[in-house]
Amino acid sequence: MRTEFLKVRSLPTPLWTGLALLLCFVGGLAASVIWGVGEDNASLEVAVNFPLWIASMVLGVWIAGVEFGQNTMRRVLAADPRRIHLIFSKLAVVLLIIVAATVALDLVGALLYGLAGSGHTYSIDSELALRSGAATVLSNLIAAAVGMSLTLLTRSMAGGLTITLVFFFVLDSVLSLIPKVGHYTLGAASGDLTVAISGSTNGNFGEAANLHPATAALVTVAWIVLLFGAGAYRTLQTDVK
Amino acid sequence: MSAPLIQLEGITKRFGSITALDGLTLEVPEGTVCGLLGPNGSGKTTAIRILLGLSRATSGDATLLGSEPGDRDFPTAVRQTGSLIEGPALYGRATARQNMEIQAAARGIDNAQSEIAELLSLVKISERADSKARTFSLGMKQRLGLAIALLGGPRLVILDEPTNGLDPSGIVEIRELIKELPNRGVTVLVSSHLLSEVQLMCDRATIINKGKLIANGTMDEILASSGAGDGWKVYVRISQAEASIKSLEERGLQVIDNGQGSLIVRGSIEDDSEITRILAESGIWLRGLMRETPNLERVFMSLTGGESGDAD
Repeated sequence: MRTEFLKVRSLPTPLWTGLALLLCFVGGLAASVIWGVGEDNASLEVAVNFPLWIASMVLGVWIAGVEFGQNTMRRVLAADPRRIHLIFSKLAVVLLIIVAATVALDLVGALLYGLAGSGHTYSIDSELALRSGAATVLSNLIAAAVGMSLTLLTRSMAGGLTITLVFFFVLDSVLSLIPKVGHYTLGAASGDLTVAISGSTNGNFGEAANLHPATAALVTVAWIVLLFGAGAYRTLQTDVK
Repeated sequence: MSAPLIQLEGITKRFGSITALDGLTLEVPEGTVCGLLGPNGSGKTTAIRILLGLSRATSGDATLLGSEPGDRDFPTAVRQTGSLIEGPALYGRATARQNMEIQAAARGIDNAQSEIAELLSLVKISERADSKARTFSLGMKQRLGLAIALLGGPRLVILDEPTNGLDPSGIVEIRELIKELPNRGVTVLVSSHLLSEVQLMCDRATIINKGKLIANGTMDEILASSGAGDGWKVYVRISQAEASIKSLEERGLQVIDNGQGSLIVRGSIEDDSEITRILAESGIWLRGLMRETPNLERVFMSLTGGESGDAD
């Protein structure tokens, strides 16, 4: 895992992603001062949680795609040929970073946005912020895991990012329109789960609440296992150029 | 004698209908610098990839430091092997030092800072240690790749085209560095398209063509195997070249016309006086005569059927 943390520290994509998150955070803070935090912690959702979800996707794609984009996979495996160890190290590092970033930004955001928005109609609902933060952690972990899995599957940074965006914004949405079956898409199931955690009717994946939370959790895990398993299998089986 | 550090036995690798390696067998003994030669597409890089576990053989056994890919000890064997395969494969937006730190961490080397500084100095890129690798010339990237390959004091180093992109002085420096490695207890397998370089730096050579082994042994054995060095270089007036060839061929000798009055003469020749006598009897006076120097390029061309002198 030390190797992956070194890459995160040394290479620019995580830094630029962090700066973009910071910029959104500052924008949200300014908006809170001017217009207040809005109903249901709207400024926190828009300026912190949604950018964090996008950033999670980007980092999930990047942590796997960096080796394909830089053509360094052969050097990585020529240093340590344990491919499954490499995949899980990458997954662990990206998930740790995402949990840390989400918790930190949500906590600091709730505090600062609340202070900045004082005097306006709406104030930060602490309980909602906490529940929404927990739901965001989950949806961000899912976004990162899916991004990483699809990148391992495509063996390409650009391919991974494109297919991840298509998966979340097109494929999943289209599949969710199919009656009954649509409830079992990753977006719908994880949406049900985030709704159950946050208590809000709006998850990052859109309106939801069709499956029982336990069923939604099972469906979500099944999707992650399927996608991650496929990505890992391709990485284990394919010759490295 | 200790077991070879590299052993390939009957390795076959197929990509669909294409056979990249066809029952390749080779050994690299400890403490040697072994050259791996072959024309483009002969399977050298594929063999190296199989050795390091990057690619799976269709059949046959590949052993690296006594371990086969999939063995429990194989990761340890790979960590004791430095490699530079088809270019240095660097993180372009990281600095040279950061690239080395990442590689040191991947190989489980702790507190590598002093070793990194030493290796950067050895390959003469210390001054650019904190520059991003993407700003490096190809030669500098190769040097950095070589430094990375030497991290952690490996027992074995596998280098694919290590002098690629280097200027002449850089080639000499890297050649001397590679020749010095066995004195540090490092065994080297080097693939290069610069045949003269291989001849100068290697104790042994393996020549493969179309995925098959066609020559293997010490450099002297290989040079002797093709008869290179058995001939004579003969220089006559350009106007007398044709007559010289005729006279020599009439005596059953094989003559290669290099143009400009330069000939290579091979065959059953006891000593230089025999050539002098044959030509003198035809009224031709020599302008120069010398023993042909053994030349790996000639061996390579004759063994590979002259398909290409540009081994990949």
